[in-house]
Amino acid sequence: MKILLKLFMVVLMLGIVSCRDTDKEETAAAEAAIETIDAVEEKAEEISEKIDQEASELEASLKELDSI
Amino acid sequence: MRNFKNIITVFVLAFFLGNGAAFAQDSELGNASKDVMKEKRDQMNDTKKKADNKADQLKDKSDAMKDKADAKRDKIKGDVDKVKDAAGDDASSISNGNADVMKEKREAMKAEADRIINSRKELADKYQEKLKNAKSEEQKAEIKAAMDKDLGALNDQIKDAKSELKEIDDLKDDVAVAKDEAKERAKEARKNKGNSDDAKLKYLEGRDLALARQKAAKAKLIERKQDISAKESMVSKGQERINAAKKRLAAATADGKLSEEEIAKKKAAIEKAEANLNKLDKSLKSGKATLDKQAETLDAVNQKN
Repeated sequence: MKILLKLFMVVLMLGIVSCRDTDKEETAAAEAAIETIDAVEEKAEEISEKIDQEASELEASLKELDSI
Repeated sequence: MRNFKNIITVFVLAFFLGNGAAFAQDSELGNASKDVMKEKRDQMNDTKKKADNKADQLKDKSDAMKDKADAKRDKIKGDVDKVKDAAGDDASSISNGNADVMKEKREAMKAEADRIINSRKELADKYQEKLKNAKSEEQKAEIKAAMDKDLGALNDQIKDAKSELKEIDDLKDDVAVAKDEAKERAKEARKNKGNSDDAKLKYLEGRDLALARQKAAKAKLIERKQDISAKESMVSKGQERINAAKKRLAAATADGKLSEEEIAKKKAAIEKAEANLNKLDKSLKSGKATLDKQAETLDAVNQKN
């Protein structure tokens, strides 16, 4: 009985200690992933805008050359 | 020891009773959460209906824009036919939107106009000399009549050439406007597609949402890389245009047609275009490398999830 009680206590302790909130962990991982994706999209948008602006500047200066 | 055993037993009993109560509470909460879930599902259905309506509206808008674009294309085609009738040459290549052919045609027309202007100037000089050397008033009147007749004919030719040049320029402007409009339409279509994707993402959460976002971001990155590739051809074409302008400027300088000030102005324009071209070229290269790195980052996100 004494051994059984000890065993039960140990199992109980292990059960309490090993409880994890996996949903929370998954949500945190997903949020981190979304943040990374947002950063990637923002950077890509920035690059595209810069290139579009430079392309329109080039087009305008090339149009000036047509009159030469 | 016995007391200790009793204490432990009471502890364990209290623990199970506590858990039992918690389970019972959970069950009540479960029922309550079922109601909340039902409410949420209804809300989601409403949102879905709204999204469907929005998608239908976008489709209608897209159809309307398509019709508008068709009308614009027909108008440009009509303009091209008009120039074809007026110029009587290969306007079919212009209708294909071939900018090079339009440019060549414009240059040929400009050269023709310059030639007529020069010959008019020479003729006017000759008549002026004849007028100076005329001995009688009668002779002067005869020369003046002949001069008015010949110069008038040349003036008409110059007027025609100028109006043809104007038509080509107008056509060029129309093509440029149509191109801009097409770009805007493509941009709006991409934006609409993005909105529809966003509406779909509203129903996802957690890992599924992250994966869907990763997929969408990857698709957008591919689109951006294609845009960069298209702009690379713009760089090579721009280089050709700059070289052609340099040749034209060299020829005009050799002929002595331009003043020092004009030459300096045109040289500055060429240098500005070259600087812009180099800047774009550099941005395209670095942009491509950055986008490749971003694609790798997105792949890593996918692997982690």
